Amino acid sequence: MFRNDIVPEDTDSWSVIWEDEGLQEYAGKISIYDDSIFIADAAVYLKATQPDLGIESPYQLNEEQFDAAVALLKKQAAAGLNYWPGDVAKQIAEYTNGDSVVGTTWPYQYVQLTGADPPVAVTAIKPVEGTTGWSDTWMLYSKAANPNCMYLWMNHMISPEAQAAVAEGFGEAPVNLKACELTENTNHCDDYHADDEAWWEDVYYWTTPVEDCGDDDDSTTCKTQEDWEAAWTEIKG
Amino acid sequence: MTSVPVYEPPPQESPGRRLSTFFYRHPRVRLWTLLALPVAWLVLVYFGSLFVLLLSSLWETDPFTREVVHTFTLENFQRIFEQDVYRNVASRTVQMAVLVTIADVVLAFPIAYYMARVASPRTRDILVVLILVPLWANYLVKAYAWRTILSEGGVINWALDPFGLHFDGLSTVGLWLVFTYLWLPFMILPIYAGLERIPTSFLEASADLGGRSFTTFARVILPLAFPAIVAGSIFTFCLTLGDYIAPGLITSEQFIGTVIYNIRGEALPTAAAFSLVPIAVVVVYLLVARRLGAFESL
Repeated sequence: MFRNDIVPEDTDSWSVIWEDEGLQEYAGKISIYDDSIFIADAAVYLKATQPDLGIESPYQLNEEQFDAAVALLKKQAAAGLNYWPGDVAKQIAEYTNGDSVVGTTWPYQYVQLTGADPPVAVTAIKPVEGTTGWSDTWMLYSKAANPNCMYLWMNHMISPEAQAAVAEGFGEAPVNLKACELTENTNHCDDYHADDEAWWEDVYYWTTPVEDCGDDDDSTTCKTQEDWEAAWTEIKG
Repeated sequence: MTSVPVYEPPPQESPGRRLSTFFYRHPRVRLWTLLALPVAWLVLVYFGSLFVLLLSSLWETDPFTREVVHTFTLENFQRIFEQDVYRNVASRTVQMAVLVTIADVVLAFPIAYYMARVASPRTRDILVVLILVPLWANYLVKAYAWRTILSEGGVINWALDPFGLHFDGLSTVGLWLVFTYLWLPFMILPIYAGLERIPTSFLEASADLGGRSFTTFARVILPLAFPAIVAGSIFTFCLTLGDYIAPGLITSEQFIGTVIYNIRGEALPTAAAFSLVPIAVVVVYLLVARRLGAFESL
């Protein structure tokens, strides 16, 4: 997401927050999600720009790939960042004041900023390199006392009405496409590419980094969640 | 016949009276009954939680689920001592605490001196209220207010703008201002109390012996007020050392509190090990403060 009055409108690449030019231009005003999972965002960029690293999943990185991502993140951190530790109010306030002008975000903040009074002119894009993402899910506790209540709740949550409300409220694509007829904005499903499977191909869903790389190949080892967290503290310095 | 004194049984004792007699006869039981609750609180809740903290710094975590696994390890301490980042964060935090303390002493002393020695009783009362009122305001409200003041469109940059100047408020310097503001009353009040205790006769004696105002200040007032300054510095220093909300709001720089806060969910043992650093610093600070007589000034 970026502020239209500061960042060129045709920006379509993550390079603006990873390469020297953008880092110098927007130093101190880059808004970054404060969690070790953000290392995957660096890996997404490296996957597209440095194919010789051989990154497949941005969440399962071997030593060389991981070190490259950490080096990129350290360079970025040196430019001066604003972290938003899951605190959406902080990021919304920063974009409103101009303390932050470009960075990663969730659709929710975009909806809040553009729907504010007066609205803040921001653009949210999926850059050409692809992006990290996640799908909201409900889980059922295996020892729940009343599992049927939870099933009823889940039934409610996948109903077209509830899906439409959630999709528009947070700013996400509904899973149940019947919701598309019920959204207040009749274009909501098109705006969020709900029915466009190809669009989601380069969205890499959050998953936990594990030692065996999550594959069948015994010869490969990857950095674990623990390593990612330790590195994140170090990246922030 | 001589009259035989008749023994009259004392009136039926009430249970309360009997209890009171029992405690009178058993002073030790009385003492421990009185102390039981506060001692239990101190030992079980206060030291107990510190002990659990120390203990959890010796556990491992599962690399996948990040749950604490009860296997003994010294890895957490190794990590904290070997990785530069923890040392950098600790030294940055201690420096911040020292700079905040110095700034608060410089600001608080004249105010406290004016209150204790110059102001009329009425003005003094008003000043005490004015200093106390911000203490009752919620800490979070004040921290957020400072965010607004320091930010890009805030009042500081609005005032500097016509002169072509710009202040990067959401920075370490900005955080220093915020801390200095937040803890200032904790410095003013002990110094005020300390200065008020100095008998006027001492100052007169100094003047009678030919001491000029500066000499009196440097050789009478300052040494007598020094323990009070140290007492105030305990607050400014320790509060800065442990804070995690203001740093998270104002800067992207990491401080001891923010690191612990950020890693506590997933790397609880490392967080626990790191939290022993500020505890050690504060213990040393308090020992030095005690030597300087600060505890008599509190």
